[in-house]
Amino acid sequence: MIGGGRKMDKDPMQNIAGIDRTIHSPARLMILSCLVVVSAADFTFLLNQTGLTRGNLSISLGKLEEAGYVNIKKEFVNKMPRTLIRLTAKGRKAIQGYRERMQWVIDGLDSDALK
Amino acid sequence: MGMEKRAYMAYHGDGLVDLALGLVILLFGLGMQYDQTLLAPIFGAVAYPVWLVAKQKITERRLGYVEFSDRRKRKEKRGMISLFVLGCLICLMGIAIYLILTRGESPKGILMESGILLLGFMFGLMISSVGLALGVIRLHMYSLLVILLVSLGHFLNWPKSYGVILPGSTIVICGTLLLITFIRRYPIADDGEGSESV
Repeated sequence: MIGGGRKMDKDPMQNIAGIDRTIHSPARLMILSCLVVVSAADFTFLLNQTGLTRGNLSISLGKLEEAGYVNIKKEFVNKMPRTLIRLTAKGRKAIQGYRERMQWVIDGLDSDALK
Repeated sequence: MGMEKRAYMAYHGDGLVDLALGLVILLFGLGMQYDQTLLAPIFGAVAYPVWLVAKQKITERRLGYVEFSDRRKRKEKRGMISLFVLGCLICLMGIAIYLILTRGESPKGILMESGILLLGFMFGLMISSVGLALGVIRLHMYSLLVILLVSLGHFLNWPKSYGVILPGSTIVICGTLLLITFIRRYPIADDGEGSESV
């Protein structure tokens, strides 16, 4: 069993097929990689850290929220709007599972064949 | 560099801490030069609240708001406690020296002779402690620079204030350059926070 809750398959191809597509996009992976190391961050911080465009970040965050991986909370601080984004427990578990699955896939690559 | 370290370094790459520390040292040196001894303590007292406000108005407005992990917060807290303990020790040392001097049993000659070296080490320790608290390595370099220049000034018989003004100015210049780079790298977003798009 892996972090994401899904069983690891003995067939390497099935393991690749089982990769979480919500996380597997570079934009969403960048966002989750940022959020996994901090408690919370706002939209501007993620924008600067990931280098994504506003539109791309916004869409990616929407998809992650839909999957239940992040929690987006809008608030006002000193009359200024702030969107605070946090990784949920489900999101943390999913990224852990994704990491383990990817590790398994990479370890299974025959390094001699790549030379 | 790990993701967390990268984010943390970006947050402290604004040069504000360099400016605050550099100004305390520079003002102390200028105070020595022009006999205005209250300059540095007054700035030192307001430096921390000013730094906090500047962090909010400059850094967070440009880089964005971030709450670091509990592990990082604990590390910072430990560093701040060490800084406080060090500050108390320095105060106690100052009181002890004052008491010794006023009793007339004094190592006054030694103090007059090597007082500037003691001061240099105290500034060095202060900067290193802040560096340790915040995990910013360049502050340890500043600490070495202060100790080196103060010692050099002492042994080369420079006017006493020069050994303090020189490292203070260098740190202020480094801080200003870092701040300019930071402001250029992270311009203020056109429509404020940009949260409406989420």
